[in-house]
Amino acid sequence: MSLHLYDYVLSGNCYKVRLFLALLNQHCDVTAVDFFPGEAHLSPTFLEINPAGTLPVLTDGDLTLCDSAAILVYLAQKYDNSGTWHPSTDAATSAWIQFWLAFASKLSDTVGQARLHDMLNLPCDIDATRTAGHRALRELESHLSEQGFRGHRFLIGDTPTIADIACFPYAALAPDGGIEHDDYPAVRRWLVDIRRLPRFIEMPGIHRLHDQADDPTP
Amino acid sequence: MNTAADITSWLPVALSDGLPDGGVMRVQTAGHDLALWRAHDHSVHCVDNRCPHRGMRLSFGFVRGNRLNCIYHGWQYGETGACAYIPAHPELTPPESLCVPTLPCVDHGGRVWITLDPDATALPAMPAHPGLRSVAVNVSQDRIQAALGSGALPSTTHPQRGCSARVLDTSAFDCRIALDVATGDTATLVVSIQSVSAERSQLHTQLTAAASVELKVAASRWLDALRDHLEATA
Ligand SMILES: N[C@@H](CCC(=O)N[C@@H](CS)C(=O)NCC(=O)O)C(=O)O
Ligand code: FES
Repeated sequence: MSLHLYDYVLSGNCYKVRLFLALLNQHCDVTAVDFFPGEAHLSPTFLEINPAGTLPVLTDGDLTLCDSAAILVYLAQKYDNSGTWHPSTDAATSAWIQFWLAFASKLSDTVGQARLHDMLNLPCDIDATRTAGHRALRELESHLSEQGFRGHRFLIGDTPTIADIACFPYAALAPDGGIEHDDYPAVRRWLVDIRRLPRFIEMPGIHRLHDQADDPTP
Repeated sequence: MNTAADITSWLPVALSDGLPDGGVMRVQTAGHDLALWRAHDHSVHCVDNRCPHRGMRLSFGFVRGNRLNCIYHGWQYGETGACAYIPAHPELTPPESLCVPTLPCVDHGGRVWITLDPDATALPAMPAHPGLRSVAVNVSQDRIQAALGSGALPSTTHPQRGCSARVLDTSAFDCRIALDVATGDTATLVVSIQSVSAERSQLHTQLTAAASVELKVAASRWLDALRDHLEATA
């Protein structure tokens, strides 16, 4: 039995899974699906795997999971030996994880939508979409400011969880949709803290921290 | 505020706590696009947000030691703005003409200030209170000042976190607001307003005394309410 990911490199939802696998140091076979321009996610063979025609899809033996949040929950419960990525020690913590997984969908529907508009010309009311995106980032900003008062760097406590992984990609990619990070200092600090995690990987538009790389200056 | 041009030419552009060693951030004010950065010797610097090489925003760059590095081709700028190193030409000592324009920039009173006036007199002494947070508001600085001046501040009503607020005083640099929290606690908030553009500002806020998490959360929620109030009435 082995893990298999159907993946598209520019998809923030797929990157959530790639990033989490990397952070867990968990091997996974990957099939690249030509989402754009090939529309391979709508091909009959792919629809046999996921009738909804969305990416990412993760299979593990007989199990097929078709939603990034569901995949993060599964990977955390099955492959995270530390038990810290999906803490379910108490009712409130479990509920907060669910809250942020749902919030991640709000980010992809707003900030992520603006990015699809700008990158792939997806039609939408771009002003309304950007306004909704800024509203979502304000929510994130207020929460992360309050976490800072508690001495907590992440969405839930001072260690990263799948809530952070779910919210990170579209928050980080916001400038690709014309939504700058300038107004969100606590969000910027959090984005840096996630990029600082050991085994962090990049995607197009989200870079590792260069100040950590070897200095080429003689 | 903003009457005596000689002293108020200093603009608060960040909280000191908001710009850690090695940090870089973008600052916009009065049509200027700037990059603010802090070297590992803790000094703060402000440069034009355009790399002299190919125009990349230097606010996308990163700091190593006491140099700001452009993300694009790695040109490195020292604290004077002079280009110190070009990775593609490691043997070359960059000519003095290769430099990025800088603005006077100081870390003072818990805030980072810049000025567009090279002859600005030094800022007077002011207390370095710990930063609370910086809040963006889509309202002009003038309208925010008028709203604070009118004294008509919003209240929040939560049974524990609710705050009523009144302006204590305003100076050329900031405005002090007393918050009375539902729990009976009180706090004094120092609000420094930075103009970003004709429609946008930043409020850089500090609390004058050490405060509990609950008190900081109450003040922070009140700032969200203040922002919403300012945007709704602008
Ligand atoms: N809720 C799903 C949404 C996934 C999703 O919408 N993926 C996009 C690519 S980022 C997609 O496959 N869109 C194709 C479509 O909706 O037709 C998840 O989080 O995995
Ligand atoms: S644009 Fe900055 S180094 Fe080339």
